[in-house]
Amino acid sequence: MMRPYRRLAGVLAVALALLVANLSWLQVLGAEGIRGDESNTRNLLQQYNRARGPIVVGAAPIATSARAKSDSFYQRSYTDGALYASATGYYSLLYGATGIEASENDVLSGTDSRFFVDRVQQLFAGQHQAGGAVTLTLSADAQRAAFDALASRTGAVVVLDARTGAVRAMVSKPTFDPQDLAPNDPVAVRNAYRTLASDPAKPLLNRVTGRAYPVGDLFDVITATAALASGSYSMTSPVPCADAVVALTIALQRRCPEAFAEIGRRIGVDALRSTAEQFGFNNAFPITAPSVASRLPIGADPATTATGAGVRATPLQMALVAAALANNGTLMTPYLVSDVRTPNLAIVDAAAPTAFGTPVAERNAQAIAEALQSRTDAQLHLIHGSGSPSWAIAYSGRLAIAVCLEAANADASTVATTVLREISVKQ
Amino acid sequence: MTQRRSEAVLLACAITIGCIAVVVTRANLDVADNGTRIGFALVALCAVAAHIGIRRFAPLADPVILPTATLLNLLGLVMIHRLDLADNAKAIRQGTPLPSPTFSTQAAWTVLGLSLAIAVLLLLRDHRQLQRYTYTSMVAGIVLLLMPLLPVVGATINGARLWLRIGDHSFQPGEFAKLCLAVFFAGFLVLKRDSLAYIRVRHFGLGLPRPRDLGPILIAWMVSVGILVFERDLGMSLLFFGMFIGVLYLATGQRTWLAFGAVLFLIGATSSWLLFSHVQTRVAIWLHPFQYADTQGYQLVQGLFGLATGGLFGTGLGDGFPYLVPFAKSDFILTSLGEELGFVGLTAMLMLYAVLVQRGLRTAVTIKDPFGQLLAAGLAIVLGLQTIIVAGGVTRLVPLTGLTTPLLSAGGSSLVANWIAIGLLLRISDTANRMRSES
Repeated sequence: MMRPYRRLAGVLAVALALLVANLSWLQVLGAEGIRGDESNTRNLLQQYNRARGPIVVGAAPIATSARAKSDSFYQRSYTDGALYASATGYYSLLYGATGIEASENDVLSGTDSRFFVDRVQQLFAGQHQAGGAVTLTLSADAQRAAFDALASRTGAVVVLDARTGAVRAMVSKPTFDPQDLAPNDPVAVRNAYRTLASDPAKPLLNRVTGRAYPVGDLFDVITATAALASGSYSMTSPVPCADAVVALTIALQRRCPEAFAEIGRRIGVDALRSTAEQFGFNNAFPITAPSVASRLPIGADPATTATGAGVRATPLQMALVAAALANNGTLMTPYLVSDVRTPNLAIVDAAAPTAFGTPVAERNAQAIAEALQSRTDAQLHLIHGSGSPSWAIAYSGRLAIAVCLEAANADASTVATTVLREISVKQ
Repeated sequence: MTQRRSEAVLLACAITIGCIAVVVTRANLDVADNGTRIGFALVALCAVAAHIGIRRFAPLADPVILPTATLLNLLGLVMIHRLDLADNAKAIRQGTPLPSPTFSTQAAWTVLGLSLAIAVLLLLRDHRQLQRYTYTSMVAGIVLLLMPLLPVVGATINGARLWLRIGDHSFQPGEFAKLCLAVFFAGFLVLKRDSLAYIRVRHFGLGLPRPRDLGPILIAWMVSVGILVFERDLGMSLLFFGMFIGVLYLATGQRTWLAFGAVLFLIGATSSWLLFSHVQTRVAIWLHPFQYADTQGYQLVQGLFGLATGGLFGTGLGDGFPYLVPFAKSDFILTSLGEELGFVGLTAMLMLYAVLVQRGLRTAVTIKDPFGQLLAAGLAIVLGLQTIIVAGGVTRLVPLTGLTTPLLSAGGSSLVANWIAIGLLLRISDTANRMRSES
């Protein structure tokens, strides 16, 4: 008598198990895939209701989220949006995020695992998930100086603190105002984005970390370093220059392509690559998003590579080269975020400067810089590249700068000098 | 009287959970007004009154049934209230007048349902009294099933002609037909089970039951197919057919009836798919929901998004977006709860249903008389099957139907009918336990 009941109960239990299994797929195992579908507006709506954390420069927030009333949506606001756009990037509900808004999204949206305790506290206090604060290493004065010096030219400027690796300024022009992409009105945002995306000057491109330019003869620094590091050369070794044979140091001063080609042939492409990598080549330093790596051409003739042909580098990369020279040959890993704080502004993480490596021996650093530099100035050492785009790297005290201008007749050296002078005065 | 004490404790837990749910919802939505407090308090009081009624009229009844059903009902009320608040917020944003809250009607129906459950306990002292009305119930059941087909008062809502509309209110007579037919099936099978089980007439070497015994079964099948064809609802027809076959299997103990039923179901399902466009649509949406995401599949797809967004622990009451799903208060209340309570919460609720079904089957096994067994089992089966069909439909395990979720969905007929069924189960379990303690 009992058996049919047991069997029926068994059938119902199997049905229940199937339901739960299916649910576990929908809600747990396969949830991300389903949830991420583009027609799921819940993701958008969730962002509307969250207080995104601020981005801070110095002691002042440059990007904040606030809402007018307790049941309206949060709105992202930028102070001096265009000034800091190259670092902050944009945050748009329709078009995602770039820059710090993207690379530090976990912190800014409050979902970072370091905020777990805070989230639990918020749960009990009945507050909604708020984002943490990100403090940048930028200096407002340096950023303003770089921004103004670049004026309306197309290109990039990046200033580093060579002793720590902190990024003091990064500007890419032409730029945009992230406030244009921040509103909650989809129509306005779509129009703004379309205008920016279709602009042939590419204002949305971050030229500091996102584009690798042909380096040209600025690569001489790396070639010279590689030459001295290989042991086959010293500053007095004879190298060809024009139709003569001169000491290496003279060839560096005159920037003779024949000398570098000869060096390249002698030390080989592996030595060049190895030195370049110690300077940071083939490494996309993810200080912000997007960031691309600087690269040597593959399979090319070492003689031409040594002169910089086919080598592409981001302005950040060349600033690292300057920073290594400024810091007596030790290269510090660059970083843009100085600390991360909880929504209650307690520090959960502070950046600690770390060394990337020693691409240049200390005794060689100053010699190379003095040989290649094009200025005779006790404090400011500037090395320029000729050709297009116009490059200049320089350092003064603990500041290192790289400037890259796309226009044909641009003068990166002037810009670099102006910025460094400006910043040094303020300090 | 430890059973009633357990019931009191469990009921207190259920009401506490309901209170916490309300408080959390209103806190998350920053609501300050007091309107619904009275409604919830009234429902809680009514549940306590029901408990006292059980003490009086059915003191040995199963202690788990009332608290479980109350908890489900309360959770449904919380979600309906939450959705009302979302409707209000939207109206304020758009500047349209505030809609009338569904919560109040649902709370009123809850109070009515609880009262009727106790009325059943008061008026029906012995469930065997219902056995006298076997064939009356059959007629009543069929009439109730066919009533939506009437010209003036019958109405098609959401594609299914299952409704009666009188003035501003709509009723689903099919929900009450469930109860009548449960009584009929139980009564009929008590009489016929021996002949169905054992009397065989040889046709071409195969032993089949007599036509006069098989007749009503085939009538039942044809009625459910009729519901499918004329009222255009897959769910109700599957529910009735499933209930009948289930009770038939329990009555005879022969698995061949399950197989027979499965074959009939397959024939019915396939032919309906071949013949009817609305069935084809439902199956198409089930198989490829995202292709129809903007058209007929919108409801299902939004429900799936909601469940996935809820994740393991849910978004929290008030923090999700269940209002994005059409008919979130009725058809898709499970996905609303799934979104805000998560996998954990929704599975817990399915377990609550499982508990109810299990208590019903336990009652069926404990009671001595065959009518009581089949009636309790029938009610348990219909509750379980309905939950499975609805939950399966909204989670895309099976095609979507128009069935309501028992005790959760906004809808007076369903709620009241389910509470009457709970009352019947309480009565039968009381008799069962009394007889067991006496022997």
